[in-house]
Amino acid sequence: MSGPEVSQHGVGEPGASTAGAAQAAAWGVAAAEVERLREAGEWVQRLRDSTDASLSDEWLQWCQADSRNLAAFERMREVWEGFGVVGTVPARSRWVMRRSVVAACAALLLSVVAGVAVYGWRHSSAELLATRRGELHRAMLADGSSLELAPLSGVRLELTRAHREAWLQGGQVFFAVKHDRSRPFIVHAGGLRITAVGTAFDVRDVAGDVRVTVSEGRVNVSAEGGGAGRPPAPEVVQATAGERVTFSKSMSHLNLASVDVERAESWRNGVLQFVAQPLDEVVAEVSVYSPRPIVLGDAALKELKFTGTVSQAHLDDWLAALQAVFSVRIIDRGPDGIAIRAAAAPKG
Amino acid sequence: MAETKAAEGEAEALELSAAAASELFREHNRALVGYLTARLRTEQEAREVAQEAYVRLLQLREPGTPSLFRAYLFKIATHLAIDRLRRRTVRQRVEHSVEVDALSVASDPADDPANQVLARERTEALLRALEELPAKCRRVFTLHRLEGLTQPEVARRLELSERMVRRYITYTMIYCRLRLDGVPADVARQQVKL
Repeated sequence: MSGPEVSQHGVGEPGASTAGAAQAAAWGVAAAEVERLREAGEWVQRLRDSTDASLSDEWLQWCQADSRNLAAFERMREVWEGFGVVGTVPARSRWVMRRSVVAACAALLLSVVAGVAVYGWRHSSAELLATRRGELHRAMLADGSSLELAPLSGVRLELTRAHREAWLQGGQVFFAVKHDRSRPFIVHAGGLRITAVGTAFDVRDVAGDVRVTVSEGRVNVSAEGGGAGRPPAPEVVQATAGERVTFSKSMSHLNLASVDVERAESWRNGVLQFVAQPLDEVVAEVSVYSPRPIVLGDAALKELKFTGTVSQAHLDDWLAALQAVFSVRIIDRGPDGIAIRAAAAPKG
Repeated sequence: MAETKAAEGEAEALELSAAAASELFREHNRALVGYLTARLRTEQEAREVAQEAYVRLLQLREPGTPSLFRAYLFKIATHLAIDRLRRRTVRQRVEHSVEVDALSVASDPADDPANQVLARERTEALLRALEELPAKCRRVFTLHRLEGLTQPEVARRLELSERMVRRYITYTMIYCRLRLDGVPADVARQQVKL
């Protein structure tokens, strides 16, 4: 791969006249920007169809070297892709066919453009939502549905006129789905596919342990087809309000159980409730609601079972209470977080 | 990478993994999808691969630093992308390469005619910009980008070095970008000095 070493010629060379440079500057074309575009253009070519596995580190370095690099890359890729609609015969004939569709839709076009503006969704631009540690986030969607994200959670959304779809990237999200029979709302999470028409439910995926809790209406839950560690495709479980479906890669089936919805959904108000849950799970769950990480510093403490309510607003109280209930001590490591260790733990 | 951490690190490791994945997701999704789209040619596939990479990263459950996870994420994604490319047959690649690009611009006409019109206008502007360039440059770019010849093939056919072919292509792209941004032809021309 010859890479970006081609740089020596052409751009910003002494040959460029002073007048030319001034003219270019007037148009906002700085030599440094052109150089950035050149590097970006090299990257478009290097990555295209590349089966070279060693490029990722170099790519990351380039992206991180300057925050403007990635934007330049996207702009150059747009040029490359922009030529895509012309060319081979199949592409053309396809286009001609589509043009008639476009013509037929001409009267609708204005409303579609307006629709795009209202929706804020375009076929090519999916929406991404993500939260930081300690952050709860509520979002209204253009279709009238709403989402609530737990801390350290991520979800990608695609809403078009034809479908509504979301991919949970990790963490926990509550969906209140606006009824629309023609456009079911589909959530993908950790190998599961959850289909809702108009209902409210909560999906959580922490390191592959997925649970779907329904608080209103009902949803269908099934496995995404095939794949290692996934349940066989045909299984569909219908869960109604007050029920929870759980699944993890160690399980061969979807598991359906009853659940106290109010307790299960209290996280939306920053309140977590636990009943006889292992302390390591409790700490991991509470930690994301804390501005600083909380970790269990001794493996032996995992065996302890915690029952109680933890409020995000009063995490200090909870930590103090832990010391009273269990034989543990709290170690404040400043910006590195808070560790919970056995009271009489040996050093290290 | 697992052994260097003390027992205390074990609990932190799990924590870090969930946190790191979400941080990565927020901070690097754009760089990852751009990277994968360039490799795979379709944004749809790029997003699928990015998701798969995130999921695999979440499943790693190994201790590490954010920069290590970041490198991991891109490595996992790279391997997934290469797997996909290898599964595509050579025949598909030759016959459908341009078509795939067309589809990625407008994959479902009924779905989004507005998008198609925009894509069409952009393509026309790009073709006009290409026309403004010297014949040699135009020829190189056309053979490679529109007729699907590889860069070595273009070099052989036009009796140029591969390095020159690459340079022509890069500068054509810069020129077209500047023209698309509304920079006048003479100013854009000076910048690329073809």
